[in-house]
Amino acid sequence: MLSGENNMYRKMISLIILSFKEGVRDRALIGAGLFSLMMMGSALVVVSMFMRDLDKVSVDINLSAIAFAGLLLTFFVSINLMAKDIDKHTIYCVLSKPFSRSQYIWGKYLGIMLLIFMAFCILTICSSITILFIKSQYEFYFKSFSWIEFYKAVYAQLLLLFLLNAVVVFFSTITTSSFITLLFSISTYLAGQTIEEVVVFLKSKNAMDMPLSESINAIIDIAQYILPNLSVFDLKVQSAHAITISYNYLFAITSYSLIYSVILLLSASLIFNRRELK
Amino acid sequence: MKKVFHYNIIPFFLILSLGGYFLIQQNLTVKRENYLNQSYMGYTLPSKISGLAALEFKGILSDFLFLKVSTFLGDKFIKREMLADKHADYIYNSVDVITDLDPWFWDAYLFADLLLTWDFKKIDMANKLLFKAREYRTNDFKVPYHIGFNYFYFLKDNMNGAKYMMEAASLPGSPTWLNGLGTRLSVYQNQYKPAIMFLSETLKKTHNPALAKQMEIRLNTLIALDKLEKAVQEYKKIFGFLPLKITDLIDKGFVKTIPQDPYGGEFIILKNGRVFTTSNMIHKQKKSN
Amino acid sequence: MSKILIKKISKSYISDFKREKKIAVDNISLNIDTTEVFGIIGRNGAGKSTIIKMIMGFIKPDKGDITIDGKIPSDPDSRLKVGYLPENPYFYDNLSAEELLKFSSTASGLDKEKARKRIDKILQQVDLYSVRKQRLRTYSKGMTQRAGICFALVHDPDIIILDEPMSGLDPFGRKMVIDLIKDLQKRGKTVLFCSHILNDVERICNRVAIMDSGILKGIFTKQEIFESNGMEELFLNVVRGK
Repeated sequence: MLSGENNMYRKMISLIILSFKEGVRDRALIGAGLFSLMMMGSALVVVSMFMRDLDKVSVDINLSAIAFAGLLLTFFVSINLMAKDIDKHTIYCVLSKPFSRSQYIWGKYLGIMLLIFMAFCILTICSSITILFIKSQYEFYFKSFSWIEFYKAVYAQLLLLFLLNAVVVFFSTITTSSFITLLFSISTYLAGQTIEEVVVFLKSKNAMDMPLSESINAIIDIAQYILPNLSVFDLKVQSAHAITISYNYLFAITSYSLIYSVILLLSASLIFNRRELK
Repeated sequence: MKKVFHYNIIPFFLILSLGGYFLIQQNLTVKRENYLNQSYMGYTLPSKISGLAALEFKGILSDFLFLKVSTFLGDKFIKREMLADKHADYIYNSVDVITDLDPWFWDAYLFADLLLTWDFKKIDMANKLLFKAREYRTNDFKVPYHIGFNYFYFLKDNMNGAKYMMEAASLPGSPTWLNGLGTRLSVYQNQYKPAIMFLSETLKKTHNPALAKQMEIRLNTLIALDKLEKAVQEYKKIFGFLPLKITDLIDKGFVKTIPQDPYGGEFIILKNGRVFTTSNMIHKQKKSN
Repeated sequence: MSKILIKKISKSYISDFKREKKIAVDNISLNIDTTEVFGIIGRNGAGKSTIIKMIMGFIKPDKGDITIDGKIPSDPDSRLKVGYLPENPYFYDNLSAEELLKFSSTASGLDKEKARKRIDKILQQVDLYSVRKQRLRTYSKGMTQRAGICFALVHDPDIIILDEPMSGLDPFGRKMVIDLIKDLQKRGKTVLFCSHILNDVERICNRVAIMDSGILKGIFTKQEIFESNGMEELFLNVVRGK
């Protein structure tokens, strides 16, 4: 009765549900939700101030609202769920049960992902309603709008959060305070969003007049491999103009996000196995 | 007992400070307005910085910046303030940054195009932005169409005008009348007709009411000019010489009335038989800034 | 037969700022038998909690071995039949007591129907049944402590490890905990607890280990405590080295 695969499955589900429930009642969640709903609502007004790219503007605002809500969830709710769990010793609740450290990491991560996935579903429904409403008001300006491209951008945003939350989980296993985890995660996010542009800029400068030294070049190359390139998940502008994103590209970024997250979570498990929980 | 007294005066102070806040707030609003009027907001953050700082929010930042530029200039238009070269530079730089953030943003390109050509006569700037648009909006007939129009109407360059009009005609979604326009352009040279067609077509797809009104005024003026010019041509055909004054057209029964120029100018007949307005379709300026 | 076997374990911490080595537990061996209530007594910082955290696998000993029912602490299965109450229990704020207990029982492999019955029963036992659907953030310290005890006992474990079970409880609460421990003893469970509160210890323990500054000063049976005029007297004498 006490062992076997079925049991292990139930055990993990109970941990995922525990994290999900704890997160779903976090007050920061309500804040993030309200903020993005207000942003979507503002689209209804703001759109009328533009001349003709009304479809683009409403997609921009809605996708940004979703993206921003996702970031708020990650930096407030996930940090609460992961780093504070270790910080405040609520982790004893879980680890006094027959869970290994790795199971803890994966269960927590999947709980957070479940939470973010649900939040995304709700936000996507809300933004779809907003866009549908604007579309019915200004049908003429929505000729090039595409739902499929819109949902592709939402999906890419979800992939970004899969990766970013793995980053949060990773940092919470190596740092001793939730504040440092927050700091590191935000830094990684900022660096990940800008690395591509910085590299392009530096390399172009390199080609033109200011040759970079070997060592700087090497550092850039290493940074490019270590840091996640988060710009690849940003399809908002393309989606706003209904520019078709190929399924090949979507497949590539899906694999990228999955592999990067799995590497982070495996390293987190390794590190966390040795961690002393004083 | 002292405690009770203490609590009683808190609401009193609260009301007092709220009154003070209200006064200061009003004062500040006036001061701020003066400050904003005096200071010129013609700076634009280069896209190297704003692009990086925008992270993944480039699209919405481009919307925001565009809104800022269009309300700033819209305000100037409503107040009929003078628009100087620095404003043209401001439009060009801002729209350049906006379209770095979102290179497909047609609204911004078109806004810059309409203002830079009609109001500032900076055709080179307008075309520079349009060529940028052409790199990204490869399938959009509107881009070469506007380039062609600028060449033809403003630069009097029929060859380039025809070239881009024909390019526009070859792209999907282009209106059928565009097809012949490229070849017919030379026929229309020195006429208002293409401008009327151009503006009415653009007007049809413009949602923003303030801008639409501007364009409508311009369109009506062009129609009036066209009508008067035709009357002048007919006059010449019959009498063999041009009318001396525009009112001669009424006297001889070619038109019933001379329309008003909404821009506050007067219609005049040039020696070559063309009709112009002294306002040059720019609002009379009230004050300079 | 011993349920928990501790062989010559040592643990020292390196403090973060001064880089000084601080010995928390020094070469301690303990045997806790089945059907025994075993208490570890000592002042704050004596190393009681460290021992319990090593048994639970939260920290690893520098030297020595620990087995629980023959399994080492890094094996998650070693905790399958263990119930644990942390010191100053702090649970997930946004969950209700019922949800917390549901997790506790499911994670330990209880099926749904059985878990539901156990949860209702134990909540009634500690007088939390009426507030079982409230969030834990609304609980007072004593209520949290009682919820923690439920968390440790809900899956009917064979080994119960309690870190300072009496702290934060009023006299009624203490009486309740004592009754619970006595009940566990009657049902043949293994109970290990640590405390710096000496009252009542002699009433419930079969054996008591006295610790000071990481060193085991001695293990005493109920009889020995009784003979030395009670727990308080014994403790003071042992710690002062008489």
